[in-house]
Amino acid sequence: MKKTLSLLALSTLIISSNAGTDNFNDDVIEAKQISNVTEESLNSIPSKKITLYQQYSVHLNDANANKKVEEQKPVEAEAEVSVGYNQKEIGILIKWKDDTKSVQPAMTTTKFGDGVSVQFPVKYGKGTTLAYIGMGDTKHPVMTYLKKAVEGRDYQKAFIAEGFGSLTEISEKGFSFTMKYDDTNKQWIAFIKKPIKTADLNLASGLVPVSFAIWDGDSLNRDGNKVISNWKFIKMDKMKTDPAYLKYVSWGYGDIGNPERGKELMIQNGCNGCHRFADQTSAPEGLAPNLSKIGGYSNPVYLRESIVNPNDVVIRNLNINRHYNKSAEKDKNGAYPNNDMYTWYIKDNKGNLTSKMPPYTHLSEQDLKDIVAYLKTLK
Amino acid sequence: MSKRQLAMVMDLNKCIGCQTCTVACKTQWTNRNGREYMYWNNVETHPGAGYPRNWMEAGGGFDQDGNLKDGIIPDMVLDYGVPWDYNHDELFNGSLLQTKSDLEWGPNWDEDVGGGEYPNSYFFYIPRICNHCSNPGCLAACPREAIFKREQDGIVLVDLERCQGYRYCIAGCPYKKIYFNPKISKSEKCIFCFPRVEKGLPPACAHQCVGRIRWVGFLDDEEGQVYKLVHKYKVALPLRPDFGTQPNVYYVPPLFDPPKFDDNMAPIENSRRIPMEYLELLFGKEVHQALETLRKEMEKRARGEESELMDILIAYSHRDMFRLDNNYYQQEAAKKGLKGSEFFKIIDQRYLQGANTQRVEIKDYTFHEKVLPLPQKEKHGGH
Repeated sequence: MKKTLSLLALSTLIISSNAGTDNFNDDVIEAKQISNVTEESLNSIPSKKITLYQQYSVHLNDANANKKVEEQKPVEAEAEVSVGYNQKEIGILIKWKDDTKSVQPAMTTTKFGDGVSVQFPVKYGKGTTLAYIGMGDTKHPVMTYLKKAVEGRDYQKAFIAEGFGSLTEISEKGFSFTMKYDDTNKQWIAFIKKPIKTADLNLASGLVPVSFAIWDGDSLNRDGNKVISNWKFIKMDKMKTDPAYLKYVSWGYGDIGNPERGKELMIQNGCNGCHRFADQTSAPEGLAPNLSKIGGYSNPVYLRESIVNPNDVVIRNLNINRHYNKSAEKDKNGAYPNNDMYTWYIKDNKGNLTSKMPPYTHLSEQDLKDIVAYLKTLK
Repeated sequence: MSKRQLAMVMDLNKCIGCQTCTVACKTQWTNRNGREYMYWNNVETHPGAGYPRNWMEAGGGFDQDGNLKDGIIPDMVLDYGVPWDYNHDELFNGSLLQTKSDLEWGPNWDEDVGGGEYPNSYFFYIPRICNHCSNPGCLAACPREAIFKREQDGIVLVDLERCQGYRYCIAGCPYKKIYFNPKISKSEKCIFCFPRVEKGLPPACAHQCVGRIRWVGFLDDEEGQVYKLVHKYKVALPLRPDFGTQPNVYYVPPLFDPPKFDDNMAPIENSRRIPMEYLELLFGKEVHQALETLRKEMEKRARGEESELMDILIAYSHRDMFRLDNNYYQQEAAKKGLKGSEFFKIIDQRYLQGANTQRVEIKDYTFHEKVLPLPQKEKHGGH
């Protein structure tokens, strides 16, 4: 995923001058009904170009990888996606440029392989809000299909997850994920094929949310250290789309408000007390998701929901043992208790989770639009 | 985090660096299945780079406020060091004996080098295993929450089913005592020989120690020698307590080193070669008091008086040194409704997959050259 500086400058220009010209259709992937779901047949379906951005919501603790994250800051990865389906199966073909093929070797400790994953929410459609993009949340489980380039092993896995740390492998019959490097065009070509309907996931619908992640071995990418897309929507050409759902997910695209005012509102409302974003870095690292690149991988309606109804998407934070309370008393074995300040939710005795972020329902419609317009520019 | 905590004490005054513990551990756990390069137990010379190279500068652990710090992942060839092969086949054609690869680094590369200028040079050994910390950095770092601390005894283990080989644990451990197994792409570490401990046997490294420098027991067992060394006499101290993980391996700091020589090669009375600053760095400010206690108790004994501490440190009997409270594990098993041979089911189910992996031999150790060329020389200066 190497990009030239000129492209970098260009992308910055687009963001600053054309903030708000984003279009819902850019997030729609047209799927064609085909008789046989094969890599060849998908090659004939027009592809959609999608852009993936560096995950920046949570900070991981590999110092060398983090240096690369900072270097990689403005780099966007592009992938081409085509989708085809029939009564039984769905196939997705993903191609992305990568000048350096990385396969995780069998005998080193410091190398990582390239990889790709495809994620679907388990529930979607009318009346269902969008899941958190980072492996779902407690109310929105997701299915994640992963393929990695690992020497000597066919590494393809299917997982179910409801937030960080909850990824659990499951076996799915009829699922296959291949990945091969095209030396001529310096690109990876990955092909996933799976049943259109399983006990866990039914994709036979007019409008199916899907998202993508790509790992670059050279950048020491693995786990949450990756580039990810926002929710895209597969539009199945022969299936009916629910107009209410379409209306819901397409909210907030285009020029909806004043980003400058949005930023001011965020500061006025104290968002920077917990979240870091842009030049607002006074909040302790890890206290809440870092919003500095949130616009690259969040849909406008998701951003809106997160502000007015944070309890709908209670996100498990990364391992709660990352912060302990130095001012609390040690237990008899010398262990400090975890620092609850860094837990993103409150758990009641029934196990229900409530987000620590209060709902910002007092905001006017225009305030909300301005804030979302600003968050969209953070990439 | 756990109900009880197992701990180990090592008396550095008695360690002779014979590596019997290292071999005991290696033959028991790490001579197979991608663990060949790992030394869950190692003995390193201090001052020195240690194993893996410069581990003390490799980050991890917690900062002053209790937040996990970033760290790095050591390189298998340059920091851990791997075994090398010789050109035995070519000797018959008149070649000289040489290694097949450039020697970069090895697990005990700077053995006995130590510090100080001749004639005042000095060194001592530190045997190291996983510290089974009360606030483990590895556990905190894992985004998969695949590392757990056992409720019954505080042993820190990797759930090999959940581990996906992301290696944040290695960056998070300030002692670099958790290792990446590239063959199975999962992290593995010292398991405190829990299958032995559950049967009342001490970990292999402690049992085999010829110098009898290791004590094993529960930290809350007030009759146990571990408790007495750590809490009653406070002569056993954790290594690098500033890393903030509350380690549970404790060291009796070195009390004896030869006096310094002056310019005429005459010994300087009451001088010591090991700088106190270095001992403070390793064991914290408490090292002064610990050394003072040791000295006083020793003088007491020299005067013919009783000293429980000296009796403990003489290490008369394995039975007293390894007080594993045998019935404890049986009771724990009984609470879970396990009887007789079912007792072994208490061995954590989450570890079974790793414990039973098929044995595979690696015959060729030149793998690292085949897989990746060695980096440029000038970059070898450690991290």
